[in-house]
Amino acid sequence: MEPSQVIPISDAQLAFSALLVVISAGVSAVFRLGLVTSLLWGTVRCFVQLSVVGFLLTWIFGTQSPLVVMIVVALMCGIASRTATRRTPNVTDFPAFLAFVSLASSTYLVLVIVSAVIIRADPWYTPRIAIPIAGMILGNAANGIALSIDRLYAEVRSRRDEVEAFLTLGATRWEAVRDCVREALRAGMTPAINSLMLVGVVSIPGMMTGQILAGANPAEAARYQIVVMLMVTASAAFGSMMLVGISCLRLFTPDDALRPELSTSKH
Amino acid sequence: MNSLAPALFSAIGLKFRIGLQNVSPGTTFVLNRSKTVWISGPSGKGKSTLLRTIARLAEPAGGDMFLQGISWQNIAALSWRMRIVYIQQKPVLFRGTVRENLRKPFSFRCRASAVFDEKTAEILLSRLLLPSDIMDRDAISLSVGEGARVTLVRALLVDPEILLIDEITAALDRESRDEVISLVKEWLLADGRGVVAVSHDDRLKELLPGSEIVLE
Repeated sequence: MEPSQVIPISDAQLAFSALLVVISAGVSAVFRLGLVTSLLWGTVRCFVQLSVVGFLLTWIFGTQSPLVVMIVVALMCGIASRTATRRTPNVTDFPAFLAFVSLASSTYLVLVIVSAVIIRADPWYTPRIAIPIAGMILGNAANGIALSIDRLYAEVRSRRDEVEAFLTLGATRWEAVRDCVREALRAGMTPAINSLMLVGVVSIPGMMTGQILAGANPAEAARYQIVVMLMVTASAAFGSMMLVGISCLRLFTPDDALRPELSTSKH
Repeated sequence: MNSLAPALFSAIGLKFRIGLQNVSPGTTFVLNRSKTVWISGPSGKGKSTLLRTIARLAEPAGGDMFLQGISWQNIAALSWRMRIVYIQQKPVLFRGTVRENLRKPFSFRCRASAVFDEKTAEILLSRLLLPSDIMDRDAISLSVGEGARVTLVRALLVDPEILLIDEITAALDRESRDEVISLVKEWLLADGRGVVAVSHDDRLKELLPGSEIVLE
C-alpha cells in the first residue's frame, strides 16, 4: 500500500518556507553576527542538494538493480569514511581506506540483516528500503569509528609508558594495549547507547517523525524506529571493533615495539 | 676465563636514533655474567634511549647486539623481552593495588605456566624497607621512591637474565638506596645474570662495581 496520506508541498509553499530563512537572516543582520552570507549559501545548498538527492533516489528506486544499490552504498561508505577520518584530531594521516573497509563491512552486514531478516524486504536490496537504511547506519557508524579511533590513539599516547612497561614485561601487542582498546570501544559505542537511553524522551527521532508525517501509524513507526536504533548501535559496535582491531596492528613496528612517533623520545 | 663461551650480552657499534634526525655514534661493550655495565655521559646523549634500544622498545639504527652470542635479529621480540627487562626511570605503575601490579606480568600469555609467588614478593618488598601492608595499597598512592622499589620487585619476580636499570635510585634515601643495590648485587651473583644501568651517582658505582661506558 502506498502511503497516500502525505500532504504534498507545492513549489509556492516550498518557496514560502524560505521566509523562515529571512527571519534568521534578519536576526543575524540586527546583531551583526556575520552569518548572512553563510546562511544564504547554506539555504541554497540545502535546496540544491536535497532536490538532487530526491531526483537521484527516484531514479535509483526505479532501477531495482542490485548493482546500482551496491554501488550507491559503496559511494556513501567512501564519503562517510573520508569524513570520519578527518574528524580525528589525535590521529594524523590515518588511511581513509582502512576506515572504508570497516565501515563498508559493518554497513553491508547490518544492512543485509535488517533488510533481509528483520524487515524481510523482497528482494533485500529493494532500494526504497536498503538505501535509507544504509544512510542511517553510516551516519552513526562513521561517528562511532571516528570517536573510537581517535580515542585509541589518544589513550596510547597518554599511556605510552604503561604500554612500554607491559611490553618489556613480556606482553604481546594485544596484551599491551588491551586497556586502551577497551577505552576506545567504549568511546565509539557510548553515543549510540546514550541515544538508546534517551530516544523518545528528549525528542522523537527524524525517521519516526518522517513516517508519522507521511501518515504512518505512530505505533508502527515506533517499531521501525526500534529496529533502526538497534541496528545503529550494532553497526557502531561492529565498525569500531573492526577499525580498532586493524589500528592496533598499526600502532607497532614489525619488531613489536610502539611506533617511534607514539613512544617516548627521551634522550 | 673460557673465551669460547659467548658473553651474556654484547653490543657491537650499536647505534640508535636521537630525536628524528640524529643517529648516535656506535656503542660497543661486553656484559659478562654477574657483571654490571654503567652508562654515563651528559644528558641528551641518549642514555635512556640506549637502554630502550637494548630492551627492543626502540629499533637500532645500526650495529648489532647479541644475547649469548645470538643476534637480536634472530630472536623474536617477545622471547628477548622475557630475558631482558627494562625498568623505566619514572616508575610506571599499573592501575590497581601493589599486589595486582606484581601479579600483572603473570597474566601474560608468555608466562601461562609460571606462577606468581606472593611469598617471594613479600620477602623482596620488606627487604627493600617497604611496609608490610603495601601489597594492598593502591599503586597510585605510592611515593616515587616506593614506586621505584615496587617496579624493581616486579622486574625481579619475572626472573630475567638481564636488568636494564634507569636511574632507579634517584628518588631514594640513602638507606633504601643501599638496600636496592645490595639486593641487585645478590641477584646478579646468584645465577650469572647481568645489569646495564644508568646513574649519575658515583656512590652506586662504588657499591656495585662494573665497567663504564661513556656516551658522548
